[in-house]
Amino acid sequence: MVDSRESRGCVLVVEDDPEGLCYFETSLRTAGFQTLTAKSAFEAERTCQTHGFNQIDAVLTDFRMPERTGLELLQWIQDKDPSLATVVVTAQGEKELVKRTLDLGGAGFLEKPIQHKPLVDAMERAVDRTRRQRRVLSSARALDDASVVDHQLNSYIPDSLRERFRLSYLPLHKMGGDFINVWTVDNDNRLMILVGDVSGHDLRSAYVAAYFQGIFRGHVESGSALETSLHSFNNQLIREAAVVPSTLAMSWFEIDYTQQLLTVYNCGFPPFYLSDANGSVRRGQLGTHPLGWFENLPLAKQEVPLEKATFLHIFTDGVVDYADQLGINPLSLAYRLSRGTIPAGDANQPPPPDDILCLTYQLQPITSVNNTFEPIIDEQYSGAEYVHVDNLQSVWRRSLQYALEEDLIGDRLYDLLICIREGMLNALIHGCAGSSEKFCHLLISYNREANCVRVRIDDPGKGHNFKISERLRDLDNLPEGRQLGLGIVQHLSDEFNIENKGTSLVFDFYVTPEEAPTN
Amino acid sequence: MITGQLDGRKRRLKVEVKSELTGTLAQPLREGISQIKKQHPDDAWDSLYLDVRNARVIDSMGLNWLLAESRSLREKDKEFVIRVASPAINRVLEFARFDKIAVIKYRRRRQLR
Repeated sequence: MVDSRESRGCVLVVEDDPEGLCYFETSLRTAGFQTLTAKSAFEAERTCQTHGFNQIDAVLTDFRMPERTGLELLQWIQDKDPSLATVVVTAQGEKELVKRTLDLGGAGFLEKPIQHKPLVDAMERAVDRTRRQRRVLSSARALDDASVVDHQLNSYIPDSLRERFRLSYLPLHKMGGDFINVWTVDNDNRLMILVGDVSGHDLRSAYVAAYFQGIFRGHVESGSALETSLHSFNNQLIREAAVVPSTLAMSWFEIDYTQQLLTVYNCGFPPFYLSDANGSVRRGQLGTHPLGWFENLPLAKQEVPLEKATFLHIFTDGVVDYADQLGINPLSLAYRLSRGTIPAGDANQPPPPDDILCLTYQLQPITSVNNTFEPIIDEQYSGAEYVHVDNLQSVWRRSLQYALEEDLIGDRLYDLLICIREGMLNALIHGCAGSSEKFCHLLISYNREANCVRVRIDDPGKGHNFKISERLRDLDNLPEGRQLGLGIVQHLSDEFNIENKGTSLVFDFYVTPEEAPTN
Repeated sequence: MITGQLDGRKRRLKVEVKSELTGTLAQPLREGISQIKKQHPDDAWDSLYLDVRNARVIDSMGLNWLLAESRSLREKDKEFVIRVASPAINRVLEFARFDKIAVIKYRRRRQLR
């Protein structure tokens, strides 16, 4: 076994000419290198395999040898261990050969005749290059190992609960600062979900995330009051800001199945959503500021009855930022993420700007999870926004296409867009009277199994009694305005309902694509 | 957004709309078609061919514009022909019974955008 650590490195010298081989070996040994020798490319390959690639720091090979050339040996080495630097010896003026050597990944070349000093310098550089590349590879391997641990620590869900979670954890780099930790107490009658987002998205963030989870879970499991734990960690982050300059947005959820109650503490996290099987959503409150900002940490406890809620939707602000970048509604992105259908490395999409963590928890046992509505767009608009309806329509179109994937919708997309536009114009202009102080609500949800999109529009107006037949009785004498709007919605949709005396529109679309000619 | 061309042999005024048929665009469409009509005197054409095959979306105000146009043409005893490629727009025209007041020439085309 060659121990190259004590020397300037171990060089494998490959030369079929005995005099040349002797010269290279003597010259390199004199300079403090250790050497291995081979008289042909085949012998060199055997030497590499016998001693092990990691025992050799560089290869010096002649180009012209019988049977196999130095370039063929270089190619073989590149296949086996690309970190091992190889220097090829050529005759003078063989420019094409030099080019091919470098193209194949060779560390350099030496032209005959070769003097002692240029030989030593070249092999010193080659050894140095091999060692640097091996250090980089070693660090990358260590990072990969740490990345596995990061995923395990930062997306921990007990195996018994995995079926009820749809989780998408995509750190920007190998490790990130987003995390989820789930556990149960009281014989599974209470479920705890801790989600967080440490500022930054690097090793430091991953460390703080793991550290916080450990401390927090320890506090809670030892019976400490939740508020005490949050204040404690808030103070710790402020106290140690000089050492660990991090802040933490987090949200804590406790689901009490006995009392059918969801309790939430939100510190700087985006609001959660509860959805029911019909696609209705309840949106959680905005959080207070993240931990580590100010010494005085206001904590607001939210208590929400589960009622008929089917899913709990939670995501970090990485999802909100990415949706903003894509020009779509965050729920459209969350829907695709939770379905695991975001194409990895899609060249058509810009990369996310931050770590992403998105989860959907199935609150109740459902026979078929797919046969329920899930929200894909949830927006509030002031009446004054009717002038921007073209821009709003662009966001709806992009969001629908993103959530449902373009080929799923086909021509029906435009039926749907026309109806959303008409319903929203009605809500903005009539329900909200075009006022910037009145708001209407658009909610779009999707039932995957039924291939059905449900649109719900609520406005704060007085409503109306709408009779399409009367509206259409005398088409030629229609006055100016949007009188035909709701009729269009009724005509194009598959189900149409007016609720709450006309202040709520609910319409369904079946989006199974129809075949269209390809002209 | 809107261009016009007279086919003198067939006595048709051909108008092509390159935008959507929505309320936010109704005013420029109204002005555009008015300009085209001014350039071509009424006695030079018998029918107006409105080509909206580039449009994918129509709303009630766009529909109102078409209705107003049909009334104006009927008063002058001109034929109104609308060429449509979007299934969604065709369905809206069907709903509004446009076939009673204009000739709808519909040939479905795949929506590429």
